Amino acid sequence: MKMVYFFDEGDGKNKKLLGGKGAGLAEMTRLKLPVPPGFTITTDVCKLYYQNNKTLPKSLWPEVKKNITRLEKKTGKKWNSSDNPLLVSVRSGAALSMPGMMDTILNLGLNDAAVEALAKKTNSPRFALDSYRRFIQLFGKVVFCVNDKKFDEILEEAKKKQGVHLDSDLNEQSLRGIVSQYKEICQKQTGRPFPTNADEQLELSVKAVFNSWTGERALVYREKNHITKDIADGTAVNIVTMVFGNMGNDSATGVVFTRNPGDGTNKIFGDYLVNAQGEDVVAGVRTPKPVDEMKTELPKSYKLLADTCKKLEKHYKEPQDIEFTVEQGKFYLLQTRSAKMNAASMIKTSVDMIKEKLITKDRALLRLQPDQLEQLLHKTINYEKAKEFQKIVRGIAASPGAASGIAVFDVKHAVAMGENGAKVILVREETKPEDVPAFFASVGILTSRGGKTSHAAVVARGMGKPCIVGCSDLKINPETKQASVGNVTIHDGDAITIDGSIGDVYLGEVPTIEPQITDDFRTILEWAQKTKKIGIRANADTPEGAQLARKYGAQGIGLCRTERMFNAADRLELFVKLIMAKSLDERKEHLLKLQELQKSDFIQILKTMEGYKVTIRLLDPPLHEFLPNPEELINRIHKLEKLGNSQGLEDARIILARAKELAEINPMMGHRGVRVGITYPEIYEMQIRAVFEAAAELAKQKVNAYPQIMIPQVGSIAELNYIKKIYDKVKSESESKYGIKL
Amino acid sequence: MLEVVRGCLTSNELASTAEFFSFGTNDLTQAVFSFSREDVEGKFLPEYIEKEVLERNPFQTVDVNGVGSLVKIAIANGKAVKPNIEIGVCGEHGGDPNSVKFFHNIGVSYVSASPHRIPIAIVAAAQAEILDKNTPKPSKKKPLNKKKSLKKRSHK
Repeated sequence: MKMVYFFDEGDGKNKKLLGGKGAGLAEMTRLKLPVPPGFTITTDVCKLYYQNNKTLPKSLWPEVKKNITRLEKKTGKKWNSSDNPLLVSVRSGAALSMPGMMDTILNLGLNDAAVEALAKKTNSPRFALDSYRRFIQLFGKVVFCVNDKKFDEILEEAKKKQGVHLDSDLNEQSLRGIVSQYKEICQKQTGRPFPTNADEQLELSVKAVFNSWTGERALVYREKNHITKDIADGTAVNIVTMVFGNMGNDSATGVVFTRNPGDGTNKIFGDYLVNAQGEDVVAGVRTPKPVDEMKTELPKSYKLLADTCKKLEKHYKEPQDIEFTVEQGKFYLLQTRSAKMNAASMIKTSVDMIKEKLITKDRALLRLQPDQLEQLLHKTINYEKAKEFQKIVRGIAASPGAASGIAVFDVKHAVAMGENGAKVILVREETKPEDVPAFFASVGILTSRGGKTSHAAVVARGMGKPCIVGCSDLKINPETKQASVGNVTIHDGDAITIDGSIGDVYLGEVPTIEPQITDDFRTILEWAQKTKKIGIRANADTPEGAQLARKYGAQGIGLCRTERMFNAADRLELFVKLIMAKSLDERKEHLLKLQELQKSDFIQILKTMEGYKVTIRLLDPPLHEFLPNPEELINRIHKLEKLGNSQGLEDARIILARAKELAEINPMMGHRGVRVGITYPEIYEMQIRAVFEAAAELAKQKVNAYPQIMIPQVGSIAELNYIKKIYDKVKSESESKYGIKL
Repeated sequence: MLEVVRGCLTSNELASTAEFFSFGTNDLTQAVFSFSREDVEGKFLPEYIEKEVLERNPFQTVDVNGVGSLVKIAIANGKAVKPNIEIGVCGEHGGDPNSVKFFHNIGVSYVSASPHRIPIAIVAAAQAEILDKNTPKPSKKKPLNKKKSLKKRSHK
């Protein structure tokens, strides 16, 4: 098995074997881009390392040495030499980039003798010593696990002592002091002197990179991002000849995106630093300059950078995120990878790159991550401004988007406030169907109980309203109309903001950003619409939902849940009366009223979706879901007893008796769907009639309505045929009533 | 609506009366796994995923091997009786890109998603078609199995 690939031997497509970084370096070398020479130890070696109980395979080192010899030839420098030392960087790199997870070691190969040689060769002892102290610090941190703080303290102390503010102002003497103190820290940590042999340094570094593959942060990252073994198995190690961005004022280092990752604009975006090494830019030790200034400061290098960016995009057909270094006027590319961008930039670059003839429409669509697009469809928190507000608690993000408003704890109060034009955030322990009117009146919903499929979550998602559920750290007291977490208390009427995309609750009104359907987004959706074969319909139960769905491109409704219509304030009462009815006649009387209401609902929805099919599902949930829960009723009864309200008490007791009668042990598998339709046929009959009559009336208005009736919970043809009989009867009755064929 | 396991398994019978099928994949997933969603999601499901007993939450992305197989069987049996029967999916999976791709591949006519997921579903559906058209297909031998005996059971 070949364990090591020189950059010009590697297959630039084989990320699994060489890791993303290694494959990228191989590919760039092949493209004749100015990459410093180097080689990659494969991910297979990492796997072997773990299989062999964390030992490197024996045959690895001879191969490494062979590649080092090639490096010596290419660079004219000598490995392990105190005369003309070859210095390298050691970088990890798995198949997928895992940001900030595994570290880089720079300037490997330095020791007390080599540093003097470097000083002499570059005629800059300051530069050589600065490189040396960086090496010890990175090596100590990555290989010996020394706490970085200890190094920083020494550095700060030295700066204070010398009376300077910048690392780059430290003089030779200070740096010598730092180097010797750094070595002492490492020795204290390991109990032996800092390694001086380049082979030993390299071997320890390779092992450290492999070890970091199973470090805690790496494991958590892979788990959170569903990076399974078939996506990335082990990390590769890249050994690259050092180039120095800190060799004077004609040297620089930078990190740029070939396009702006914030808005997608086609302009190089990023930062650089003169006379610095790579990590100075990332670590924020010094404030870097915007890359635009490089045009005047290092014009030749800027031109090379711009050319390289174009070349890379042309090759990879994707905006890139690159690292570069200028060593005494010579431009080097150190890394390139596909740029991570937000949804808006992805959309813009997709459209732009087609215009530039860089990619095809198919590729423009394929490169999008559909899930990411959700960002563009909801109001979002202005996270910049949010920093000024107190984040008090986090729950489960159940329905995305941001909403600010006043906290209201009581359902009726919420309805009243909402109808008066107030922006209300409904705060409840949990919600029930009877609370739905308050959903309509609120801009957002916050509950302390339940999960992503709790009533509150499902209803809020259907309405497209931001919602946080299961916020269990928030103690909600509906009696006192207060909620508290730690020493913070939210009172009725206090302003709060919820971020339903993440689950955070803020005190006060955090500014939000309106969703933006840009022209580019519209263009993308049009292309997707034309490309796709499968139909996309919406789950929508209200004319508003249907309208929104149509605006977003839905071609019909695939699920219109009729029970949602019973939850509006004026219907719920009727529906409860229906459930409570003592006789069939009484039920029919209420059903007639409900039928008219449903008919007008259907007419509105079918009109909104004119020309498309609308699948109307008959009643699905069990009847008891429409009644208050027994616990609540018992509480109400206790209160009424105290008040001595005998009429109210009598009513509540009757409802309680019915609720107990209808209660089920396992409602999911209980008396619901078609089972209700067969045992209370008049309910389904009413609903079917409402559909037919709506269709008939629309036909008379020359509206193209295409309703479909869907029967839930069907388990047998007998059930279906039972309802089919009702359907046929109602159909012919409706046809003769309206005098048309349906 | 097909969200009861028995309904799926007798789809050939149902197809004689039904003019269309729509798979309620939320309830169907609960039934196929014997999971009560509310009870499992907040409790052991995260641990299942952590311990790699389950690869992902089947309520978010459709379980291809289990629920997906049942859907495929139900479609095949239904189409054997009524070849042009319309097939829809109306669970939350309709808004999940990976699930949309699966449903595209098994010949579902439409999926249904909540309004805010519509653009996501549209883009995912386009991606499914692009990937599909770029994948070389083995020569189809389907007609052999398709119009088999099941047709006789038609009730019409």
